[in-house]
Amino acid sequence: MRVSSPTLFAATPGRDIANDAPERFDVARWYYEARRRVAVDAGVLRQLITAVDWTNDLWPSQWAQWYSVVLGFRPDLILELGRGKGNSTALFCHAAATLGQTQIVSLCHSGDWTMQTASRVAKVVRQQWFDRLDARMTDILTADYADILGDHQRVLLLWDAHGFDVAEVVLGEILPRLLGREHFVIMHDIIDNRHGGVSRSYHGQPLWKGSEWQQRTGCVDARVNIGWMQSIQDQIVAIADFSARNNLEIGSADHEYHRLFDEDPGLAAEMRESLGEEFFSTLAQWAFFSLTGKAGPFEFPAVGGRRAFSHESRVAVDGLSQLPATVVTNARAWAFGSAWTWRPVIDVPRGADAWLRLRVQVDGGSVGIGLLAANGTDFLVRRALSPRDAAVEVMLPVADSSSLGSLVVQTWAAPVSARVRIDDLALVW
Amino acid sequence: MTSVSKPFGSTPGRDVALDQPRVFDVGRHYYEQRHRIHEDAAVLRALIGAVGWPNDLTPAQWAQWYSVALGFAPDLVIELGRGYGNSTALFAQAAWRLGRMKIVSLCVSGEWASMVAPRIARLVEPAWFASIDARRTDILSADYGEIIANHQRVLVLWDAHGFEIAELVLGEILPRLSDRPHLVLMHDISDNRYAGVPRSYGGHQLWKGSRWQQQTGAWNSRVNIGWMNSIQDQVIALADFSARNDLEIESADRQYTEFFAAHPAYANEMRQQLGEEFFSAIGHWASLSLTGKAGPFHFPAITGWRAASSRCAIVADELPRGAAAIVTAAVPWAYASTSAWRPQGSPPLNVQSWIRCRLRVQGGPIGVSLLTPDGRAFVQSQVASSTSPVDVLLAVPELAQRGRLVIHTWDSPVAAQVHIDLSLVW
Repeated sequence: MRVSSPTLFAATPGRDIANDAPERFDVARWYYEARRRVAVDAGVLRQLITAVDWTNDLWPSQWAQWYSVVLGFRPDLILELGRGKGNSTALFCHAAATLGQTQIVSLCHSGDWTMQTASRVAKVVRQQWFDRLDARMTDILTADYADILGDHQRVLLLWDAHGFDVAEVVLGEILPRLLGREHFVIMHDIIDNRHGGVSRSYHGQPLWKGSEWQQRTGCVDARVNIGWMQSIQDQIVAIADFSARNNLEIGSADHEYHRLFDEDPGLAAEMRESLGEEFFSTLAQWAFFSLTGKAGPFEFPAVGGRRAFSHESRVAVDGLSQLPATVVTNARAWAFGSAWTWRPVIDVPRGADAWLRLRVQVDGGSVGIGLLAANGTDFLVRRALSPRDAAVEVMLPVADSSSLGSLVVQTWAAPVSARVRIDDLALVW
Repeated sequence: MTSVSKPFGSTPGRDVALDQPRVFDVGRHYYEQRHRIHEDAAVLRALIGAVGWPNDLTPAQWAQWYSVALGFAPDLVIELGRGYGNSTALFAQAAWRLGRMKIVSLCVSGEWASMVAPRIARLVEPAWFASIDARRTDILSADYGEIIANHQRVLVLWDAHGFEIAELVLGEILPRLSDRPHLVLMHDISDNRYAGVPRSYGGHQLWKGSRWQQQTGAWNSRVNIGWMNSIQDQVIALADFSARNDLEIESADRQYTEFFAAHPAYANEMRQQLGEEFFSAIGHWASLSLTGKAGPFHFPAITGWRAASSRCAIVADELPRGAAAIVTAAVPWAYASTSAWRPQGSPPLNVQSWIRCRLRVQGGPIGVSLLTPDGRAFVQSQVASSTSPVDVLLAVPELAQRGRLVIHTWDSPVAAQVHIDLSLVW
């Protein structure tokens, strides 16, 4: 949108950007400065790309770009939200192996890394290469970020899982926890429409109507533009809102690369010479931001299910007389370990924003915990949980308290049995 | 961080240097219409009282839109979303003043006919209603080619929300208006630069779309897209349209604030003449027009029944043919006919099809509904009430498993005569 002065929220007090420190992170400079390292590592990067075998998700030049970000930013923790086949997981692991001090916590409900990619990667790297990686088959919405972030002081966050709920967790849960530490957030799947001759036309496509609509209808070619950001992800709506409220510029890797390499063709020539077209491109299709060095205060959204609830009801579960209770799931992907009908012992007011709260500990393989729809096969909501040493809290939204779906504990994507101890179960609103 | 260049800056597009100056200055028109607003203040006040729903539109917003209608002087107002009828009444009053303005008001709600119009009728002459064609119908079903017809100056009030309606406005209505002067007013969009809206999320969750908001009741979550602060999906579609077409979405808050800041004496005059009741520099609405802008423009494609390219007749066993009418009873929800039906053509398998009902309804509102195959529930139900021919579209979930088609009374105990012509489109 064309927005001229005054600035957004000009009539409302907010943070004083005049107090912002000069920009500390320069992704284009990092790319340039890492060129020799990328060139040295090109062989192994190529082997890793082949092992992952999913270049649709991340091209070799994007591998090199993110590799350079890790080498430039030098995080002590990389938090990966969304792993898929594991392109970013592999490149982060290799960068971590190069840096020597970096831990990686990778959260995704997909089992592809565990069941397919890791074994192929293992053929091209040493076993210690995996030591810094904690790849969890789990739900991003249920993770304990205080525990994950721990005492880490320099955090690189890859935001590569989409939807408004994940956006809310990133902006409302993770970012506030990163405020006291150096951090840098990479966001995949955001194209800069200012560069590369991106078409203005709708191309006969309908209006983009949100990610859920896109998944439901299969209209994958419809895209949305908010300012320079073009995407198919709801996330850019949340980012635009966060950016406006906090007077915070969202960075564009495309823009930064064009700025540096268009302004100094000599640098671009060096890059091409060192890396070739395979690993050098000014086309990036990712965005970034950081609150590091920015003067506060910042505005963050509340996170659904993580707020304080004023009401709580015990839950009666058919066939379950007391807690804690243990469910053992089969070593068969997606097999149900239990499916219980349940009800709160107190009536919940109609229209209340109610959540089923469980405290569970998982040993063995990853599991899914969810509420079934009335048809007994589809899930109204489901969360994946990976095995942890400690119990974790799982919040399942209850859309209609007059029609409660069965509570299911099941094996997740990998055929590994799990032992699930349910310590507590309550309905809160 | 780099300096900002325009969205799509490296892609050829329309040449904004060829744009004419803004076609309509809402700030100036507010000021210039102050005498008329003042003269009509009593009747506006009476109409506001009769509508009885100032939550939807404050008296100052009445005056603002009244000044737009008087200043722009359209020959057609298309009102998308009527609700209780604040805007309907003010546009009708403007039409009464101007004398040559038609209002086609489209909304599924029935409050206007059942509650508001009778109350207004006590205040105005019967001829006051002559400009209004208030249809109770689905906005997505209307025939805009027929509505716009040969009108030469069109004001659109976009006050019904959601992505589907946004697609209709941007992909169906705007292309039809691009060759004639037009102005689109959009309600429920505040300008966060001027309207004093809080930056804070206020302890609320992230806004996750209008459908989420309706499902969860999280009405306090708002979204900011550039300067647009709203709870409506529409602002995302607008931002996208604006970026693709290098077109500024105009903010009433900005235009009023800047106009009266530049002319403080005018603001004093307005305050003196209209008082705080009818004068405010904050409108919480936006506007859009392609008039005077150099093309070419990019419009989204239209989905749903409008994208259908094939059509065949439908045979229904209980529906009268020719000029005969179905008569609904003066009993809410009473069935007048329940017809088995079949298409006379053969749409391909797995292709979405719609029953298109061309209706003329004289009397109370009626429903056209499609039953499930077992007849126990409605798959879809649409209301129709209009003195003009209207279309009702019902999506057919599965042609081979089609349920019966029902014509019935809607929520008011008023009988109706219904002429219906059916076809299947896909």
